[in-house]
Amino acid sequence: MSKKQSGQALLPLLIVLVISVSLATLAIEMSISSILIDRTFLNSLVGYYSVESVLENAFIRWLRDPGYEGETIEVNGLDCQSTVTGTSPWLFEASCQADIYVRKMSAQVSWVDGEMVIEDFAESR
Amino acid sequence: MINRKKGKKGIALVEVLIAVGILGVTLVPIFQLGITGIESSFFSAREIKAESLLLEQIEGLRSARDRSWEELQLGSFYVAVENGVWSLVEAETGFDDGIYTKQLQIEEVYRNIADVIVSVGSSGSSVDASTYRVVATVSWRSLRDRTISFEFYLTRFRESSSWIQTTEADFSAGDFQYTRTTLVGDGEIELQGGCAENPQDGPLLFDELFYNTWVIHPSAFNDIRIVDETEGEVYEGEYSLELISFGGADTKFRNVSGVCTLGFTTFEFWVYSTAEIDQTFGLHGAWDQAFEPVTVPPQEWTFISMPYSDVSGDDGDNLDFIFFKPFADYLIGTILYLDNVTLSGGAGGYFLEGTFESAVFDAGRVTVFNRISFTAQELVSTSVGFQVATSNNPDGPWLYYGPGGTTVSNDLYQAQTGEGIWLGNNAGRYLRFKAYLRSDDGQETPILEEVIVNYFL
Repeated sequence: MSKKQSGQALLPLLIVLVISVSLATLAIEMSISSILIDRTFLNSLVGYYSVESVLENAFIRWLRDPGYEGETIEVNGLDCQSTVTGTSPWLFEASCQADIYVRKMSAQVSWVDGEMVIEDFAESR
Repeated sequence: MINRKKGKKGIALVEVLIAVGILGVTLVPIFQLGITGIESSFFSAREIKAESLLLEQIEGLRSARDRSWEELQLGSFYVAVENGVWSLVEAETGFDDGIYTKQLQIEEVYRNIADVIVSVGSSGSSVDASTYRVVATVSWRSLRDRTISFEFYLTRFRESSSWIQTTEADFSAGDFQYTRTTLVGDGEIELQGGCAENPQDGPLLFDELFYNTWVIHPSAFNDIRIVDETEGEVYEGEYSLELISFGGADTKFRNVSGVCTLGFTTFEFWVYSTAEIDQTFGLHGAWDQAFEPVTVPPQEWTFISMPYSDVSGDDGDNLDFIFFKPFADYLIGTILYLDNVTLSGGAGGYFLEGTFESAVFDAGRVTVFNRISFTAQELVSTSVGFQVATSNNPDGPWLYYGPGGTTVSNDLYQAQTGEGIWLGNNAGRYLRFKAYLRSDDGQETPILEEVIVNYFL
């Protein structure tokens, strides 16, 4: 065996190792990414339904008390706030913070002939 | 040379063995990592499906809520499509498809007197029939069992409507106590009264003499006279009023100038009967009123106090006369002496307080009433307030409660823009409200124009 031939058996080993490590890294990365996406999605869901809860709670409280100006409320362990400002129409806003994400919703409410009329009920930035 | 060649052949084999050894050592954990990653992706796929199922449960529930609040009940459920719509299916442990178990737990929500959500059964709190707490859960089997779950609130805010009372016809269907309808606009309620001037001599009709232009009626000069102690019985001072022909026809004294008697709640006098047994006579204060019976014991001064409305009736006019009429068993020859005839319990003018109980409102089914608001002209010295009663029977009973959850007459809803109806008394099929109209001095009256009750359909 010549000097050049020395170590030839390790070359395919290195190639196999590189490919294997790459595949494994990819799989791990996909896995971690997937977990992170799941977690983000779940947090987002929790934030969304929590903030909608808070806004609905604000509707029902204002329906009973037109002087209601909002409150701080905990839903799913999240700190949520609601505020009611303005008059005819009133602007309802709610927000909940889940991790680094904040989800917000707002609606405009009018009082017409003794009935609550809700407009522009949507998620806001 | 021969030895070197032999050595080189051995080195190649060693390299292969080393390579295989390294591969064996490194590839196993690498493959293990890869498998773990793939497994993780698989588990992640299941988690995503679990989250989708959670979303499906929640949106299905909200769909049912939006269709009708009545579809929601307390308990454990899952949602499934039935007859083309999302419906709640009761299931104590949720629905298990072999991999996933989905469940919606619907629970009561308690609120305190300030309407803030508090923990279940907190002292002084009430169940809010218009809010539910929902815990949505999805569990699934994997290498280890997993569960995702969160809570949210659902409210009935979408279904509200209103009952409005504003016309004379609306108000006329209610019950009045010292209040009446007016037609300044399309129908209002105000306190009874409205005398231009208050009595100049206060509420007295007779003491030592007649006051406020009260006189003996011309047709009764032979029946009534003022007597002193030497001529008859006197309760206080020197003079009393003697009804001398009381064994015969009616006797009466008259409010000749129509001086205001409205605004008082009580008619009072002292009376003495010369008979030797109890005597019953009747009295009234207007032509069209029935006689109110009064029984007095023999030969002793007795204090009589009766509601003004028993004397005046409910027509809201001043007293025209005070009639005294013998009843059937009255002994001929009996003489009555009266002293200190007076009105009390008010200031004259408008009644200081009157109430109006509305007609019965039928919501069509058991529901929840949210807010009572009203429009009224309230001067500095006047006020309007409300209490609310609910029932599942159109005939009541009607127990009126204020925002503080009591029936006392100063526990009232008084904000014209509206107040939430006390949660302890806001559910039922039928509703009545009771309006309290008040005047501090009887000089002015509040005017109630409109009442609106917001409720859920």
